[in-house]
Amino acid sequence: MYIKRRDFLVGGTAAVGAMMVSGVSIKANAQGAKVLKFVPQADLAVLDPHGTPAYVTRNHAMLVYDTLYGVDSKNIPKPQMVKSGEASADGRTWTLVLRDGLKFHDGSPVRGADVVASLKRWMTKDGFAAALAAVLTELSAPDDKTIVFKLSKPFPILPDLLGKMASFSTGIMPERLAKTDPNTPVAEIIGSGPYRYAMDKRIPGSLNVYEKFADYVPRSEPADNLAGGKIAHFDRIEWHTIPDPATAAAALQAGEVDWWEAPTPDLLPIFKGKDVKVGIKDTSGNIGLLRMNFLQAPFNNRAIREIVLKAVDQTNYMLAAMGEDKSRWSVPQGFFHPKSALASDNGLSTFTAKKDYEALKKELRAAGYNGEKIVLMSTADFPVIGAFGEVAADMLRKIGMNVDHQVQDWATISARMKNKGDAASGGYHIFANFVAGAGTFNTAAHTYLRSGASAFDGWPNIPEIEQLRAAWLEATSVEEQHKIGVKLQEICLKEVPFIPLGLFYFPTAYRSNLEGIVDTFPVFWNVRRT
Amino acid sequence: MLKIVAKRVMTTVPVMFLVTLLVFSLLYLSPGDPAVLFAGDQATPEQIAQIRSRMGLDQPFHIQFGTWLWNLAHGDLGVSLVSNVPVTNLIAQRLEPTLSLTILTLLWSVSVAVPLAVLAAAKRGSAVDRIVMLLGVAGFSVPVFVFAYCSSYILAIELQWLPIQGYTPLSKGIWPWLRSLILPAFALGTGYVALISRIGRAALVEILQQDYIRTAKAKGANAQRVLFRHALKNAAVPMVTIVGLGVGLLIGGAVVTESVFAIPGIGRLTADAILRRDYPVIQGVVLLFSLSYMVINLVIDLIYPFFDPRIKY
Repeated sequence: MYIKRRDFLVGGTAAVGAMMVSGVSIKANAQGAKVLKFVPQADLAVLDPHGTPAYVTRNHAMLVYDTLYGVDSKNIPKPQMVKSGEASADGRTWTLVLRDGLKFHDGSPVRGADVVASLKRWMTKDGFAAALAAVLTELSAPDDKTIVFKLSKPFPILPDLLGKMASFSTGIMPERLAKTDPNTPVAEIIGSGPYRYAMDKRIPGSLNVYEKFADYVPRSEPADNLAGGKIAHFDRIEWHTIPDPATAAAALQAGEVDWWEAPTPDLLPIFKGKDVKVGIKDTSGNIGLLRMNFLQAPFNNRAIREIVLKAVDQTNYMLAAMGEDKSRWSVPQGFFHPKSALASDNGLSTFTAKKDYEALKKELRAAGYNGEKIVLMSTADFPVIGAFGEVAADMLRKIGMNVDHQVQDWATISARMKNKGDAASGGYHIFANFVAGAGTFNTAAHTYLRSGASAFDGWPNIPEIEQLRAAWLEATSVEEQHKIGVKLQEICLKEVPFIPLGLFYFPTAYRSNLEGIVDTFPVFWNVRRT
Repeated sequence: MLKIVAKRVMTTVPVMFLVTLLVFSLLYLSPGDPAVLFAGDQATPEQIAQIRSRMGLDQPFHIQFGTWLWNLAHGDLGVSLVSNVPVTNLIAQRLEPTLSLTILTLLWSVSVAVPLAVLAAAKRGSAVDRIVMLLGVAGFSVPVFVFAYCSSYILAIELQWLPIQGYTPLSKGIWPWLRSLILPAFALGTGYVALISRIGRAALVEILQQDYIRTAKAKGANAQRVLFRHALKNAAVPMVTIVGLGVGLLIGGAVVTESVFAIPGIGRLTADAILRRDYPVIQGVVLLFSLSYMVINLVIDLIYPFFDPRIKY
């Protein structure tokens, strides 16, 4: 059988026509009235809310699991699942009462026993919660609506802890699931939040689906950060993992997806003139940092750490990582988030002052640096960290250090960060990283501030910091907290547990027909399509 | 024939064992710790140790490998360290997109490359031949992702004829399925077209200079009969070989193509597993890839006698 040229042309034209007609439907499908298609910052690999502090898991947890409290845009905790929460006169007993109508996605009511079991599981994982665990003598549920915390010391910040933005989410789940060993993933993803997780529709590494939970009763207050009414306007939310940024950008432009959480800065210009809005929603941002290894020479020498701190010009780091648009970063940045009661400007001028590298070089030699090799670790997997690494290498060389800049994949770096040995045995001297600003609002959640026995990688041992961290937990006023913060910053500038490199914000991009996106990390209540 | 099949199947066992041993050793020696990645920034050394223990990573090499082999013998490829989903389920879930992409790419590229090879060989030295060879060089030289981005930009963003990303299962209809694969198959197949057309042309050109071709012409066979009946059949052996070997290229290329087009296939599963040091998944997909290569090679060997009766087993 032969195909005539004319038949071929007719067939070809028809096929192209069909493709064009179907092309229209691509856009229409993505913009269906009740489905929101979202591209998360990373693949959601771990579904257990207590499984990992990864922010993508925290964001997933906020959809599925309701929280007892939620902080508002001023970082003040407001009741969310609780109707009331009161401390006793001596501050050693907290009594929380659950509001009516709370139900889990399996249809069972939320009981005090569920909350107790969930919090016990959560406390084994969360750094901030460890501070509560240290003073908790009893956690009980005398009835289905009440939860009682008995404490050896007052813990005035309990609502702050239970409503915090930073990982881990409290993940209130049924008692039968909460009794799962904390290091074993829960078998079912059952919460009481505005959306239920559709496990049967999951394609690991590619697709996660959430369906509106019809029995969820939102609060009556307007949505404000994690506080207020969580009203679900979409029937279904789909998280599509798109590993390639250019593809995600193209999909958003074409309307195949509605919202891309973390577009890379270099792709933002292509959205100009398209039906796409770009903005900063999570104003808690991120703080870039350099961490020196306190266990290895030469950074076991306080004077040398201080000289490295003095060499840091935060503007250089921010320009390299985030570009020239100053709405996406700010300097000088101290050791705490600027909106935290702990924050102050004291001593921060050093981070923007003009540098005399020759003078610093001399100071370094005088402090005892003898030209030994400095292993600096960074990764190209996160462009921001890669940029910090490049600037840090250049800066350290300018002050006369013999730098071996090692750029490796994140999995390798993460494992090496735990290595307390010397460089010859796979250890390191310094690494670049960043932390979520939400984790730097207080001393308990602040991973890089921890010192001594609880210290994170780099292992600083500064007893004064630990004393002040403990004092903050008992502070009863904002003024008291601020004083502690000022003192902490003074010590940090001398002892250098880490070096802040600036506060920066990841913009988010979404179709211009979306409105009501709450000013925080991606939460999906309140969002609607116009 | 059955004897050779049985013999070849038997030889796959030690080869597969060596492959798995090699991969397991490399993973064991490679830096990175899935427990650390899983535990996150705030985990204490004790918590990391607990997770390592749960994952079985605190066991010595021979115990880990032995356990894995024992489970494999019972049809169990283990559970993903990250998603906690059985590896067999993960692979089964990802098989359809990758198979669809590979088969579609093979179909279009062979059906384009073979006529191009014939055309170039028949018109050797002409402008047509040079154009085909030029396209061949371009197909080789331009990386898959460049074809992917360019075709996406034109056909998906500007013209909006095709979807930019994602995969529609066959169960949702042939046309939606096909539309989701046209761009990735095109991007993935360009290099393959270049490879087959160049090898095919070279084989045909050589055969067209053989004595028996001259004899066929002398006996009065027309050009079409000489080309298709006598030359192409003999050129099929190297072409079949290259088609088979090229499947390996397709699988390698699928890692990039599936990432660029966000297709949830085996390629992306592999890339994600490597980045997360998800050892059971890496082991599972490597096993699958090795098995695929062996089956493909066996099938090619069995096909040879149909094209060249002189080949006997």
